Amino acid sequence: MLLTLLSLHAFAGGDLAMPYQIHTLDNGLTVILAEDHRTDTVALHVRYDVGAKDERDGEYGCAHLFEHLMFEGSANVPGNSFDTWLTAAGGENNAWTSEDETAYHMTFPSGALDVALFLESDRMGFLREGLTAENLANQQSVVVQERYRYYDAPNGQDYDALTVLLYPPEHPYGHTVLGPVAQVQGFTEDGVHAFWERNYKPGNAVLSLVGNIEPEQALGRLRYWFSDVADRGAGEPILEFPEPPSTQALGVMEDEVEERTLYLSWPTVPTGHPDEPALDLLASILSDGRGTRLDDELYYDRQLATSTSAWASANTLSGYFLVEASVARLKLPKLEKEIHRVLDGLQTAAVTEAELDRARRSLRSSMLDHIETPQGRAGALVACYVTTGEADCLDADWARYQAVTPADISRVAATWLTPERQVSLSVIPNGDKGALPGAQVVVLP
Amino acid sequence: MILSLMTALALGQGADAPEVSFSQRVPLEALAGMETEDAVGRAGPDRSHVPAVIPPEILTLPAFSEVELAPGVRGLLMPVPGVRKVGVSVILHKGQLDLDGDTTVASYLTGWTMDVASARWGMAEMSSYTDMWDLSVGSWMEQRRTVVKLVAPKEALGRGLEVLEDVLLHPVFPEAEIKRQIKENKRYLLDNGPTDPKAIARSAVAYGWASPETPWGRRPDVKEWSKVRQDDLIARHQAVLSAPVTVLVTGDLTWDEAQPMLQGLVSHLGGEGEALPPADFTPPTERRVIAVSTPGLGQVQLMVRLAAPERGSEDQGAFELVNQVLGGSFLSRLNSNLREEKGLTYGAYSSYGPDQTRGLWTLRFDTAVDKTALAVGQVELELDRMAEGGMTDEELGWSRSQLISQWNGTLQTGSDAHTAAADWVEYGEDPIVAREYIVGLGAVDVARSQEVAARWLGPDAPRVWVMVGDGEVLRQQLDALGWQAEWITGDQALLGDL
Repeated sequence: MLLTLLSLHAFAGGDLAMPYQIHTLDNGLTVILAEDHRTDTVALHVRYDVGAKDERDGEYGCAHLFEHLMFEGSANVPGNSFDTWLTAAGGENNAWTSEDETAYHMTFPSGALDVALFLESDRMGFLREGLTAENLANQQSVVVQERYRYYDAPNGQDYDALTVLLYPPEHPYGHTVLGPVAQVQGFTEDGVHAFWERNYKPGNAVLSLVGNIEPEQALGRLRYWFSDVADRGAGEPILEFPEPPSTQALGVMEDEVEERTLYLSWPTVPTGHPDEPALDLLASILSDGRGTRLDDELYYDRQLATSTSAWASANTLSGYFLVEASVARLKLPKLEKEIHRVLDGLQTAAVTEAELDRARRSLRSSMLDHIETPQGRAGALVACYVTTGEADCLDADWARYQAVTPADISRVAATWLTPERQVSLSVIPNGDKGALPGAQVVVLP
Repeated sequence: MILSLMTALALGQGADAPEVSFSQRVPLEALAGMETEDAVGRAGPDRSHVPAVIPPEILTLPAFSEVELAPGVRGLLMPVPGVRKVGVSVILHKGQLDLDGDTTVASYLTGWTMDVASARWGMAEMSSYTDMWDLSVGSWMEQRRTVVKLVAPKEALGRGLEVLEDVLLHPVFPEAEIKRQIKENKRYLLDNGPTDPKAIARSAVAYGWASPETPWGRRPDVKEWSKVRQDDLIARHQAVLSAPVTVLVTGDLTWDEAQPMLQGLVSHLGGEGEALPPADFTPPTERRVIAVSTPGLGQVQLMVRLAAPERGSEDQGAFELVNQVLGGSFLSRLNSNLREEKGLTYGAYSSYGPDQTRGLWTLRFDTAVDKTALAVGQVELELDRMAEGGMTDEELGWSRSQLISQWNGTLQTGSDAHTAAADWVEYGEDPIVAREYIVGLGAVDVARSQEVAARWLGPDAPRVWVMVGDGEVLRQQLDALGWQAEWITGDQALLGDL
């Protein structure tokens, strides 16, 4: 789970404890409060349990569209006043959307607490009244531009292609977060209203407030500003979904690129699974700079590859492990063999305590860096709560990583990273013949 | 001679300097007052108006505590209570121009590869050791300075300083790493860069703006990369070690704690001389439009660059506000116009970079290639509108608030604090001067913003426009604008052949 909170890197030392208070407002909104008086900053983080996984066919991309629409006005915050008022108060904000959830976050000086809560509560309670056809059309256009800017960049389509290969279309992760252009352009006001009603409600959200606050006062302000935001029930958990296929798949995509890139991935485990820590640490042991196995073997020492990386992704419903490498001249079948040689080495040359210790310390240091800012801590408290039910979960989570042994690393590699379950994607320059044999052309929706 | 902490205290800049003024936070009682005022217990909150804001005060920081750590080695300490990490930058006041009279590949690589391995740690060992102890060590060489920087948790500072000392005094510049760097740079210049529209645009605007006659605009030379040898780097490293030195320390510590740990390092450093400014720069005198065709792409990458006030000039503060309002924030006129009103782009953002001898204002965005003329026209319109009328009072208010908030967040983490302090040291400033600059933004009014905008953004100010997109469509768009362009290839852009 640590890796779902942050990106890689760093040391031991320091304290992972995050003292907090937690309350449930009358309308079902969970609020988490934590003091940090080192600076005047306050961070507000709201996470809705709505992501790509919650979209029905015809709604693909809608959660991400709301990442835009939530700033376009609500009943008492007209037009772009959200940004204008928060910025005038010295604040800033942003948002992100994933397969599982959408997060909206702000930081602001403590004296702007009421402005921030006014804005956040107005869009949670009354966005619908501010949502106009004009705003919708405009943000649909912006999202289409956003997708094109990814697709025009070299290798900008790769992860979308990988999604197609990893998950069947009917799986909650079987479509991309941004959604196909046709669906994004096809959203109607009614459809968007219905999506908002279903997902953007207090019972489907967790809010944290961290920084220069006094918790009792802050709770009073939260109760005040959210008192007219109606309880519209809890979220709708996804209870049934098809398992990702556990058979081999080979895809190929031509692109305007100079180099060949090979993605080898394997369906693995959802967050919270006992094997999650060992898979995270395995990724770090393989690729985290000089002295790690894949990076040394393919990039630094033999310089066969022009880039290498390994990543373990664990989401709510499923996860995957990914090894990625780009090459200038090497054919991808040869590259695949070289990667497998490194993976096989996990069985023949067991991971050492030193390798494992480095990976653990890197992870812990990243976490400590991440929770040093009010916004990082606000996000971590919410992530912990929604994942484990305990907002201050990092110490307990860390214990899971400390329990991993070198034998566990070899075991998870042998269990999950098997050839018969491997999903591969070859990305090659237009007209190139260097893909893995038997690969089928991936068609993006 | 090393000055003692007591000497520093006598100067009023040591441990008895005022602590970081956290008491300037908004008093929590004020918020409590707002609660009673807002009629809790009514049917719902009052949403008829924007709630009152208690404006933040501008954070006060103590001056640097300055000591002489060794002959020719100046020490500056900025105490930052409560942060986890300590930052240490060793700044050798000798750089590329001092060594070679120009910016060269050899001097660039000297700075870049110093931190890779040392006499004590090989490449893999260095990487592993720094990961184990959460040490971030970096080195680089600029026109007039060579910097080695460490950021470490306070409890691992001793280990970090050992690495920093070894990297600074005993780097080994491994042949394998030099070859790898050369290979990677050639690959970028010749292979990957020319296929990346963003990289093409970045290079075209840089070389379109800066003449090859100045070190700021020196073109990459692939042959020069191939010629670099390990001995070239060793010689340059030896040469910079004789420079006068500044050691900047930031974090939750005192000189009493830091000085003993620095002794081993500073006893080998220190020289005489004067820190010189970077090369002069003369901006172009004519408008240029540079176009690059990348067939088949749905979008066009657009950049425009103009001259802007230099660091420390009278116009700097007002122009920083102008930039915020024009394109430097989400709320800016350009982003509002192009994204929020017209849906033409995912985002349009400008940056203002003031150096000692030059200032740059650069806007970057992308849009559908067949909307190029419309989008470019809007940018020209917004530039003209700002040059003619400056900002409104409302815009002045929010742009100032943004910059004050950024200032007040300076000490959020040890890394943030060190980055800010290093920036001030680079330009001969200190926390007091830096705060005065922020306070001075309050004196900028609408008339002043208009005056500065007119001087730098007016229609006569040379602009370099760069457009990277499908050539066939771009030509039609340029016709619609009535503009003539210099057409170059992606390869030419990367190599500065224009």
